[in-house]
Amino acid sequence: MKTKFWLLILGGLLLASLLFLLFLGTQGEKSEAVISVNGEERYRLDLQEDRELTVESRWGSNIVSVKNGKIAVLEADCPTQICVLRGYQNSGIPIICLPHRLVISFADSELVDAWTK
Amino acid sequence: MKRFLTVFFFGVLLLSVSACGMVTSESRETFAMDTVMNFSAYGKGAEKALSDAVDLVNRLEDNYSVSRDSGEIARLNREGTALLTEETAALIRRCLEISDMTGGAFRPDLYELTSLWGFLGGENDVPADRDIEEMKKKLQSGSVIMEGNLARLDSVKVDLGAAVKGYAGQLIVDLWKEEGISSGVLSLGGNVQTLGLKPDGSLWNVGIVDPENPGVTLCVLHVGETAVVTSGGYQRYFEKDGIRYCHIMDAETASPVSNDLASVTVLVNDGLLADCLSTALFVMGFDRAASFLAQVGNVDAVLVKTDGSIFVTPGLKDCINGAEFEVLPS
Repeated sequence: MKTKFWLLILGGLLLASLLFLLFLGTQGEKSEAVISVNGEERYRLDLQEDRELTVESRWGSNIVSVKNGKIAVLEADCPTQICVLRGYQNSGIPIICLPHRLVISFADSELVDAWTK
Repeated sequence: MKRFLTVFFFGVLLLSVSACGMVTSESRETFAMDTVMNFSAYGKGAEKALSDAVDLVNRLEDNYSVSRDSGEIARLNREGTALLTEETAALIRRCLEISDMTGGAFRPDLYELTSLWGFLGGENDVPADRDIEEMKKKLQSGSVIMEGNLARLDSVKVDLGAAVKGYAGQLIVDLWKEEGISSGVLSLGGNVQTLGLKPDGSLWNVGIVDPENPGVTLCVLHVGETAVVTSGGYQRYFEKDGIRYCHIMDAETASPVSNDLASVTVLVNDGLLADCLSTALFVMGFDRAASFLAQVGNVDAVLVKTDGSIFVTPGLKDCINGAEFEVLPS
């Protein structure tokens, strides 16, 4: 009776840790980008699916491309082109097009609480 | 019964662990002061704290932006003499103090210089040598004179662009404390200000952007409650004939800063001071900045040179990760 009880506990713990590892695993693989305009989420994109889309707003238009697990702003009708110069990215520091109030942030952007620049 | 108790015990444990990750957290992304801002507040009242922060930033922008005609700074620049509100007068007095402390490396009266190079709405271009010489002379003798709350401009105009975001961060944190918020983080276009510790009691992770490659994190600082402000030449600039001209001005040369520093990050509790000092140290260049830091002693900083080498004050040597660095003398 007693052995059975401990086996049950042990089995439970093993299952829990397996599930936890699985959870960690999927967290690491998650490659997602969120596009927001003026603080409002507009798209949530799986970076494993190649696509091209135009994000329009009253501030301007950006052509965004998802390719080979990364995302980039290909074209922006603004004078600075800072977001275009960032090229393809899949993690870390958000891509920002200030004149169009467009921000592309990544699943792992939250590992750092804030960037100073 | 014993089995029931064990299951019950584990159940409670599981619930409490998951509850730890469930402190109310609210975030807001907003655009003001020509930049993007992110505010996060944790705990009860977070939603209201965020709206208050947005209101505060908008109020400061209306009053202190050089391009808002109804604001006090625009009025002072227009009329040359103005009786200011207590708050604005105190802000300018504090900026003038910091200007003295930094030997004029930071100045709150560079509106015309910054305009001359086209960084305040105009077209970016290199001015004629004659205009630069004239501006240099003007800045050598010109100043803002404060008599109580009465401000008088002597051949200069005020631009608080290098101070207002830091000041805003400071005011928001003070307001949040009054409202009972004990944990939060602000990013005002790269000016970071933290309140308390993270909800789980750990330190905040603040990434410094690589000046050579603004898509890459150069290193990460682990900090408690503080302002973390960076100034660099890579954020706003224009190029002409292969030369890069950044938006941070050196009054001594009446030209954009051009020295051996790529960026300067300053950590002090006071957001306004952090903002002004990051500009000042960037203007000074490495040698002057390093001796200034050794002299004042209570300011932490990360200096990134244009050759990529990183130098930190002794107080930071145990809270920086992700890059090789050298420790500055104390």
